[in-house]
Amino acid sequence: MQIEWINLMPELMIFGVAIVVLLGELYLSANAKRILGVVSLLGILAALFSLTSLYGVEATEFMDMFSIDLTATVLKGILLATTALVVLATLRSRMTIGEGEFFSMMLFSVLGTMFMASANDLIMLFIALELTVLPAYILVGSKKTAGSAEAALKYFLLGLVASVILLYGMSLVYGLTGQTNFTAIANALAGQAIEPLLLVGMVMIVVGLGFKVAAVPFHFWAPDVYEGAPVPVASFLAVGPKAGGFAALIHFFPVALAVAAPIWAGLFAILAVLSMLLGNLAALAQTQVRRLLGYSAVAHTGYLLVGLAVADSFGYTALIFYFLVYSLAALGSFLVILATTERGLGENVTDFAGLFKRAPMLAFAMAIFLFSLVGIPPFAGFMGKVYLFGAAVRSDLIWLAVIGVLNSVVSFGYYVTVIRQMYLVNPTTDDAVTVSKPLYLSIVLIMAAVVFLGVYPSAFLSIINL
Amino acid sequence: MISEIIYFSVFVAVGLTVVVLMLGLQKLLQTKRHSDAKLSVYECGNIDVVSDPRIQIKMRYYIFGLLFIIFDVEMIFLFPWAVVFKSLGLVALIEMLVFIMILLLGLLYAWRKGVLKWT
Amino acid sequence: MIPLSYYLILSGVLFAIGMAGVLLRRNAVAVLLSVEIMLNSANLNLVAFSRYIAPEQASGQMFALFVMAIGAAEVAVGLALILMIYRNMQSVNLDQFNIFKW
Repeated sequence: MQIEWINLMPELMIFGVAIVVLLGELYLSANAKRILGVVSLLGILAALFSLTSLYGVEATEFMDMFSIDLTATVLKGILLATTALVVLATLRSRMTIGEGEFFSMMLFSVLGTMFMASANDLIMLFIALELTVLPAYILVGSKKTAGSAEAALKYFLLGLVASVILLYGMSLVYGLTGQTNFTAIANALAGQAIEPLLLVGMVMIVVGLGFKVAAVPFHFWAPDVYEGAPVPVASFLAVGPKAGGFAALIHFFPVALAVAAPIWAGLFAILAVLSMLLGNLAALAQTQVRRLLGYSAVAHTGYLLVGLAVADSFGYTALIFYFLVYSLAALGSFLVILATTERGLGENVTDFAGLFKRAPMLAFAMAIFLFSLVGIPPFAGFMGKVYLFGAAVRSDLIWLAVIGVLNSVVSFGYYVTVIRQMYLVNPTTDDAVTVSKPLYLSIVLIMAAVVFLGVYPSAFLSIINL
Repeated sequence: MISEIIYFSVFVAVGLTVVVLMLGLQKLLQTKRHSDAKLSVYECGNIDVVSDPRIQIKMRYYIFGLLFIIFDVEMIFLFPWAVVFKSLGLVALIEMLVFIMILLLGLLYAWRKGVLKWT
Repeated sequence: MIPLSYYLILSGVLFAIGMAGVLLRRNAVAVLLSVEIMLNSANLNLVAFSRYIAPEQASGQMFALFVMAIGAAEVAVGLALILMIYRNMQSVNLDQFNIFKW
């Protein structure tokens, strides 16, 4: 039972950096704490670099509890890259300067998500999931305002109930098979009739993980958290924990519950339709930009679940690609909001009035991100949707693809109100909105990525072998 | 079956004898010298015991309670570890040391943040 | 020996009690306690299954140990959050947290 530590290098690096940053927070002077963000950024980049050496490696560690395969490695890559962008953007943010805890908690959460992506065992999955969400609860509640407190309390209590339901479902699956390893569960279930108890356990696991990815009807926390959490935290939540939820879904259901594939695929199709419809319709009525993005996140969970409803490798690949595209665009729009709120602007849609005149670059970036979220060519969101709905059509789920396309049309309605405010409405003042350099750099990088992936998606798709 | 009943009754008998012995010996051997301080009600950490029962307990209690819960419950990993320790050898020792170091880091964090100060 | 179904019924009842507490209680601490009951019902399941279904491997019992430790971490984070919220808002009644509507 020799452990190949090199396979665990990215995780070990993130863990080490998280500890170092935490110690730095304890022992450095307030002035020296400014470097903690840079240390975190360098650590994430180093982990990303060491991850590239694992590309194409297939291995399992810790007695099959931890598996390294292509999907896990790619998901970790997406996660680390987006987290690096979050850290870069918040380097000079007023809300995070000198707060080692912010970076440390974020790194621990990322660590949990990385383990989730590689989990090959119910025990590992549960622990990784808790490691992902516990720091997230703390981060959401880290600002002493009523909104932050309420968001944290809702996120915590609902998340806790979801975890317990998930655990109960896991215990039932364990009880039926006597195994906790995904492949062993699949072997034990193979060739047997599907028992009602397995269905109960499966539904409970769907509910538990559905909470984590904010699928309707388990989405109640998402808009509140996106609106109430501090802006840097909200931008992290849009990429981090969600990646973990989808990584777990992609790993657990196709591997362990392959026997019941038609049933859970049907469940995910229903959840996808509900999430798309409710997310988009509720977003139409919103006037607060972050809340609007929160509902848009729910709708996008719906699009992503289409990939699971398809339930073949095309679906999963399209899901991963769309996840990358979505997380870039969502992160970008949150970072624009971060840039404006840092300069004291409000968060209502009308507060973005005339942003084009006050900060042309920010308005342009926001427009690109929102167009990408709608799925307008030539931006990445378009290609993502093409592959996702293409995979649905391939598997004769044409109705699902049609609903998805119709929903994208509906979603144009609310994204365009923001764009209209920025470009067509006159601002109340003409003061320029300045942006700190790292934040600016981060937004530009995301913008470049969104355009690049829209024009040349095979750059990424060749990595995941579509 | 019979032997189990015998074991059980011996167990009960020994338990009862010990209780009776301890209380009885104490009664026999004690010297009775009362004073106000001895007769006062004792409550851990609280000097003024007789008061309105609906008092606000100091916030600090909760924080100490939180810390206690964490460090107390993490110890459940030590028991299974101790059982198989001999067969696993040095690796297990190092792994457990790493685990305890991480726990200690948590304690260090609480300490440096001033959570352990009472006032 | 007590049949497995007894444990499962007990754990199901515990889970239902906890769920009812989560849905009905209005105090954040009481909700936290109810969730702990649910957590322990799942733990009971794990240990019982481990004993009856797969006694040769102790993976269910090990799972239960990890769940206990994680449960403690959750309670610590949760109580700390509730404590902080109480300091800021002077209340832990869930009905008073109603800034965000829908």
